[in-house]
Amino acid sequence: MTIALDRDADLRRRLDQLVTRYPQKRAALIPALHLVQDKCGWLHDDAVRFVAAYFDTTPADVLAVITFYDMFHRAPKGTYEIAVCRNLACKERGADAVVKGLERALGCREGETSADGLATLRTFECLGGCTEAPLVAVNWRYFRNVDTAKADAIVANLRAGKAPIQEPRPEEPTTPKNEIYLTRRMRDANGAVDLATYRKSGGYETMTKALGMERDAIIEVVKQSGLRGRGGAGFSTGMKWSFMPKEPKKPHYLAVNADESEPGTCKDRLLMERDPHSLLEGMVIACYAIRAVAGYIYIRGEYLYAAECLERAIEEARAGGLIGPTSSHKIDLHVHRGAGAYICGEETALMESLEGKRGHPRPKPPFPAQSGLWKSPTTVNNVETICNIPFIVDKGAAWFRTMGNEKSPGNLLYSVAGNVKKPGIFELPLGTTARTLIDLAGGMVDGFQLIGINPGGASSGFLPPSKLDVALDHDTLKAEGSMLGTGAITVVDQKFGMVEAVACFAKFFEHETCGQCGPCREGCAWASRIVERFLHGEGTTEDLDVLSDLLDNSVGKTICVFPEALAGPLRLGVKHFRPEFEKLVKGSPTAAAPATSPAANF
Amino acid sequence: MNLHLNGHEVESSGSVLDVCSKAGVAVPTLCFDARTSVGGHCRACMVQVDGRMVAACSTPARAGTRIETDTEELRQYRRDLAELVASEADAVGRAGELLAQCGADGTRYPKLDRSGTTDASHPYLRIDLSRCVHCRLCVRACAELAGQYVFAMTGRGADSAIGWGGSAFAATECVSCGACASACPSGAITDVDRLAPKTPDERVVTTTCGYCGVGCGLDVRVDHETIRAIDGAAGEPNHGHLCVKGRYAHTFVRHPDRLTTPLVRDGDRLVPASWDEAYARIAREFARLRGHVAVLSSARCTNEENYLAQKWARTALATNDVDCCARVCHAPSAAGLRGMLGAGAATNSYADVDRADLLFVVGSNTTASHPVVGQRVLRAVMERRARLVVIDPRRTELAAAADVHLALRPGTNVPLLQSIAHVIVAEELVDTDFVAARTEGFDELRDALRAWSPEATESVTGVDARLVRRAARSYATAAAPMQMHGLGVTEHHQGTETVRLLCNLALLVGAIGHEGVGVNPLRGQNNVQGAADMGCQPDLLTGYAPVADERVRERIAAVWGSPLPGTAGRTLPRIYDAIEHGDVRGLFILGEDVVQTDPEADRVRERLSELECFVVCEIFRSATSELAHVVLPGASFLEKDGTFTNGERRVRRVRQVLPPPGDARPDWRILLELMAATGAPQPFTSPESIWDEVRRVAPAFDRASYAAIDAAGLQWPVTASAPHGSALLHRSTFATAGEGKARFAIVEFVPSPNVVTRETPLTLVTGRVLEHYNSGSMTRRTRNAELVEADLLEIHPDDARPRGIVEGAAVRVTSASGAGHFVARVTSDVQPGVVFASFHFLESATNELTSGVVDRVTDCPEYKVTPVQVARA
Repeated sequence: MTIALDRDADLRRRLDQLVTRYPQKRAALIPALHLVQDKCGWLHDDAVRFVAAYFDTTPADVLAVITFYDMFHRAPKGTYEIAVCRNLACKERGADAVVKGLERALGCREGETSADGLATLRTFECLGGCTEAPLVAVNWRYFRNVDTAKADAIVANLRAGKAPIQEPRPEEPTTPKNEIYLTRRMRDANGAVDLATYRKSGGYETMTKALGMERDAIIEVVKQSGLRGRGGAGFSTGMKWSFMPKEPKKPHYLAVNADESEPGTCKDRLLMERDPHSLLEGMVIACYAIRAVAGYIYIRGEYLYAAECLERAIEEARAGGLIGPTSSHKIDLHVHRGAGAYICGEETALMESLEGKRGHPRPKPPFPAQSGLWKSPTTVNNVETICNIPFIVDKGAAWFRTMGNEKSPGNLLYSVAGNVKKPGIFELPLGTTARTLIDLAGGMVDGFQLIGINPGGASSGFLPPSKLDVALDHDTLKAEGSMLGTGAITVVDQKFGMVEAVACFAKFFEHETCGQCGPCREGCAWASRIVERFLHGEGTTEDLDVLSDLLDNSVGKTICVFPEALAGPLRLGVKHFRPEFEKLVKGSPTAAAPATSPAANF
Repeated sequence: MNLHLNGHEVESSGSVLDVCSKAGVAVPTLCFDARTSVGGHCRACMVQVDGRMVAACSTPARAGTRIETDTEELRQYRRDLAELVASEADAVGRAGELLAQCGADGTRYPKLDRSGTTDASHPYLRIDLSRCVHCRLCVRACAELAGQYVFAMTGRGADSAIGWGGSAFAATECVSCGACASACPSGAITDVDRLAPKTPDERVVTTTCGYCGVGCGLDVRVDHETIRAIDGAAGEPNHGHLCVKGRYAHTFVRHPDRLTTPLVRDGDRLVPASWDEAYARIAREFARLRGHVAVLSSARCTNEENYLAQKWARTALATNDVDCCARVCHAPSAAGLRGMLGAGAATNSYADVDRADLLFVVGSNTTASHPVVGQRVLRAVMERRARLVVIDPRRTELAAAADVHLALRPGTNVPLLQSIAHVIVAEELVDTDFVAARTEGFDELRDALRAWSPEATESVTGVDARLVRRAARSYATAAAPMQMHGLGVTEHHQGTETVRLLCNLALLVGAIGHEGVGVNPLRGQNNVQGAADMGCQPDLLTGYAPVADERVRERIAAVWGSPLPGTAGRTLPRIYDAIEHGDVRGLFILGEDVVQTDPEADRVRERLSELECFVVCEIFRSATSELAHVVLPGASFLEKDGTFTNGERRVRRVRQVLPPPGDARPDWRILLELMAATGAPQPFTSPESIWDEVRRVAPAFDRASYAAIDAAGLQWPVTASAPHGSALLHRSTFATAGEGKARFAIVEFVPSPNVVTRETPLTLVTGRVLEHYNSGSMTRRTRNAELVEADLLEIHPDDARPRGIVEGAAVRVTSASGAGHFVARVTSDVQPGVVFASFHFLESATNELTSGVVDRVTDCPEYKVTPVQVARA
């Protein structure tokens, strides 16, 4: 096999092309592993040796990277890889039944490959299709709202030799009667916005305007607008930009965080699939303002279709002389696919991963603006944040502040997932309430009662129904002990239960901790084990105290804020929904039966 | 600039952890080792700075802050963390103790049944990942101490585990240095020496390694007469790091093959005898042969022993026919450097490897022959991105990591170095200020270099002229270019002249006399520098005083109370000649197996057989001792006191760890007894008293008393004006005569008579491997023999194919001198037309092949160029 890879001229050409995107060869490691895995089906020892030799490193070093990421395989797999999302929204809407259906159709268990070698079935942590739950990916082509009948059809089509094709999002993003700008073009275009359409509606004109402005004037406008990061932390974007050195001693970089992996969240995917040029235009303006020579979109590996949309848009823009070496500004943009690791959404882990390493967050200081990608000053911004930029530069800070509220201006792409009638994404001013959003989503599905909400992605704390009228903005939610996060609401219903919802997130964090810091590596695993006990009728009230100690002793003690993410849903889950846990305490009449073997469930 | 630590005011510098450890305040750590970069991820070292919890290791200490290390909150946190970590890992050792101390009692997070990978495929290293606490010190130690990348963390989260990229650990590229085992706190990675728990009678003796010329400090853990384990000592030159020989190859000391009683010849046999019998026989015979006895001292022995050996030769035996094994390795370096710069030794220090921004390595497979320095170079390149130029016919480990590798044809050092000098001059890269101020003869050099363009020498050296230009520019334009060279420079027909050319390069660009730059011969044996310093040379007395200088002779004679012969003696190759002619009839060899290690083994054997009285002092019987009339059982470096001087002139203490076995004696005592028996009794009672006389004879050691060099040694000269030694020579002037300027050498290319022929179309280069040491008498009697079981012959596929030689095949090599037998390693690490073999195994008879050609100036044999033929055996 090594000989085959060694002699594969096409592969070598593509690898050689890949490495030209980065100032250091090593950065191409993860994209290269994708390429080689696509060729070989899986990353066997010869493939590892080949990649190690290509990157002048050891197989152990390459294996360290491979085994960090969920999308890389160290064992043979079927022609197709079927991944079923198992996180909250998908589970609430029947993902377990979908898994069973697929197991029946394929004749193999989850984690196995069908006897005919057709497909390997696996479950996957959030795939970023929460408003289309349950979501199934076949070779990373997304199938939406899958039920058992659809699961059967998917397998039948694969058997019939039909390659999977990404299902388009048929419905328009739901837009109530307020001023919208982020999703206006895609709504007007009634589909994906290509370059011609984009330009017809004034696209890239703001870029031209910005390139004629003083760099610091742009930063000032963004600062004045009050735009806060849309990735979850809500830090002032203009402020972040102002930390970049004014006199570059080294090349500066922009990294766009498109590692949208926070369970509940799928809004950046909408922007990238439907209106990629708005992101590119925003990136050029950002690069210009922060004096960056290039911008990298770090997109989660599972978002294959979105990555292709971006690649296409970049090719269009490059051909049109709008970006890259033939453009006036020479700023080039690149798509960089990750490979399945939530932690890479943490900005320093993202940079490590983009440099071709395991996604271990870096200690701060130094901060990215001092020493980021390749030890150069770097700014990391979320996709939606950057998509706001052209509008702010075009229409001004005052216009931006007409939407949302004083401390949280602008529109946000809220989403509602779970057992509501019309799950979807909504562009609304910041400060909209959950009640409004759930109403826009058509209210609860008949027979389902709302018992709580997760207001902003897995790391935000659960809230009880009494908080439905709280304004969903950064500061109000912080005061509630929760957070706005990504503005992605997932409703929890009585049939699913709050303990199950908490367990779902605990398991997610157990799976996703990078493992470098002791308190987090072990703490996430123990938190998940403890919550799990309640589901199996083995939990005790003392367990809740241990859980509370465990969170106290991990939050604020690690390199990054991962334990804070774990603590968000767990703390408020126990605080607001303690009776739900107590109902399941060992010996209580309402406790679950002790766990049965998985075989019995099959 | 102070802060408050637990209420006490202390100085604020470095990290919070630095402040704590300086104040003696214990802070628990798992992933911290002062020898590596900071990990910052175990989070065991959390302390409170102004109330905020921070990791002490990765937080800079700031003046005016208040640090608390022992609050109730911290204790609770530590107990929680310890219990969490203990639930996953069955740690023992430092980590195990720490977790228990912090109160990990398993009440809340009971131990998980997590079976970890185990591996025992390696002769020394043992792995049990069920003990692993995820500190990643093995990863960092391997990368940052050894410049290797064997380990890596694999997997994610709680499922992450240390990996080595394959199944059996022994199949990795591990260089067996044990850095991982020395750093691992949990017992997950350990070695056969460290597995056993400490015993009550165990003590630690700090001494100096007796293998190569790096001269690493050793902390030897010993219980009575059993060596338990060896750790690297702190400080220069090794900073706690060691190689597979220094750390593990110590079991030879109590090997049953050790000589434990004197042996005397009785017909064909050597039979046990008493010391008195042995001494009486030597005294009688050497008295009879007085004036015709030569002494060959040993670079493996201490300074004190070498001093006695030459003093004995020059007094009781009345001869200057005294030499040592420096003759067969770095005599050309000593002569070349002394002639050019005035001091025949390294111009600077190993520590400068860390300061240099370009390393220029010539004829040295450093990672194999001087592993701790080699890995320091590798580390500088891999971790610090220093540039590296390597000149070597083979693609060595360093060559593979180099920015420029000039893979020249063996025997073409002179034209290659001349062409580098040509480029520096022609492209006006000369440091003209330096040349004007500190050198002479530049104009002649410039004229002489005209003909040596890289394009003109390309056909001779086989090196692409563009690469030569790149190397020259790199060297000339670097801020701190540091040279290191090995036997690939010296063991040639023009060895000494090649050393002069290296000096020329350094002088041209002013890369000498300040930190981070210089010319550094990597001395081969542990004390080869010292043996030469002590005067085990036929033309030079202790401290490089010329024999021919009458004033010098008189000064030393006054100290010795005995006249000295006034004419220079014979070098080792000339001693062999003199045996043939009957001028030398008796020979004393201290710890050297010349039959296996000198060229033309057959001839050596013949000469030694002709001696009337041949005495060998050894620790094992050898091919050489089999020819002796008397064999005296000496002591290994672990069994005696004294000093060694390493390749950077560092005089370090050697301390007795255990007594010699049986009736064996320390060599210094044997020499004193021999001197007494041959009519030259000495007043010395200990190695220290011998050393004190050395200090009186040689001014460079004036202030280097045992007390002064006690810790990590000092680099000579150690004088009243440099009481702490001299890390750097030639700061403002050279030690040359007159104005202290260095004169550029004008060198002609005189190709070696060793040229390939139709019958012998390949060029054999000989050298060493990492796992073994020279004749292998010590390392082959340890488990290193399991790591490398035979001498291999490296041969290029283009040469192997037509001869029907495949990997692993037995091959026979023939030269004009003899024949040898090897196992083939088919590799493009050697160039077509060149083969390479080590000489650690007597069975392969590498030195039956080598020739009688020697360096034109110093008689150092040309081991690096021998025309041979290779065939399937």
